Amino acid sequence: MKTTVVACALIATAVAGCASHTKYEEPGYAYGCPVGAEKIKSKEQLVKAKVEMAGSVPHVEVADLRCAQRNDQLRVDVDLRNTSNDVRRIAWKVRWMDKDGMRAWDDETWKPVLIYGNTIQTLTTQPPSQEATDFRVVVMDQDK
Amino acid sequence: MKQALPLRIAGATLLCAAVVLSGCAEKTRYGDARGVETVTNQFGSTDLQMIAESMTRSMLNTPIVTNGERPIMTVQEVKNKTSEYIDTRSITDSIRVELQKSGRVRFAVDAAAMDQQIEELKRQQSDYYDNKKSAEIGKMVGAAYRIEGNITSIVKEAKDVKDVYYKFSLQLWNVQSGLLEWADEKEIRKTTSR
Repeated sequence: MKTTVVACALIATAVAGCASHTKYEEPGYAYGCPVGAEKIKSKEQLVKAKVEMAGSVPHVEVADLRCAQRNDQLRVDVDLRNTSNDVRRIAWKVRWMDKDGMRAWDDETWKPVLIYGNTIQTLTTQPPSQEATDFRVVVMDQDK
Repeated sequence: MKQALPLRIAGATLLCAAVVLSGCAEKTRYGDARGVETVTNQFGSTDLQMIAESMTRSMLNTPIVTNGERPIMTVQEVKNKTSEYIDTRSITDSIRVELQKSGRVRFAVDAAAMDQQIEELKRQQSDYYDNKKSAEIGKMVGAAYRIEGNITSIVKEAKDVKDVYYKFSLQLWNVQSGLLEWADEKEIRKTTSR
């Protein structure tokens, strides 16, 4: 009897361990980020859809883009990597849009940021209002 | 025909002068009000906008604001502890505008605007107004939270380098309990070298 119980417990544990943790994303979201009607199949496509380079920004690339809900609010982290050995200076801002793609907030200020050589700098942002549900991060070179 | 030559010379001189002067003329263009301003390393528009944006977004994350009850706040003084003139009222005005626009908080009349508020109330109580449609005295709502802060700076100067460090601190105090409910800082460093 004891052997049967132990065996059952082991099987149950093994099955629980193998259980799939795949989460189905809400429609209009990809990797936790709001994407509207866009078809996003990879992180690269997501970065391309969400991050705009205003002109040429040499030696700076987007290493990662993460979105999460914190206290019922969207939080966005963008990792920018400086691929050169020198310090690079950039400026960034976010364009906020509502669920229909309409502008939901005035132009943000350009925020200057310094990225040391061969390092990653994380830009963090969150929506300024409840209407602002979608975003584009814009990055501009400041070393010119 | 002989008189035409001096006239031609005079005309050519005037044309040359006009061309030279137009080259020296000032040119005025509209710029990006939200662009990065680095004309000097004194406190500037980019600093003001960055501080307002950073403080607002941080405050919007506090449980007091996220619980959806639209708390009533008032803005008190931001003390300027730097060596330069900074219009701190402009910073708090920007913070208040951003918070108000977010739709998650409300603001009660602050000390600076109190005189005007009382004056308007008294004016509406005069015989010129329909008493039934006038604002009543004694119905104003007090703020549950007050915002206050300060800005400090450290300036270091060597032969060819000037370094300015600003620190802006903002706090949200519970008026009734006296508890500090939220606080944040924004640091800015600007270096100018020749």
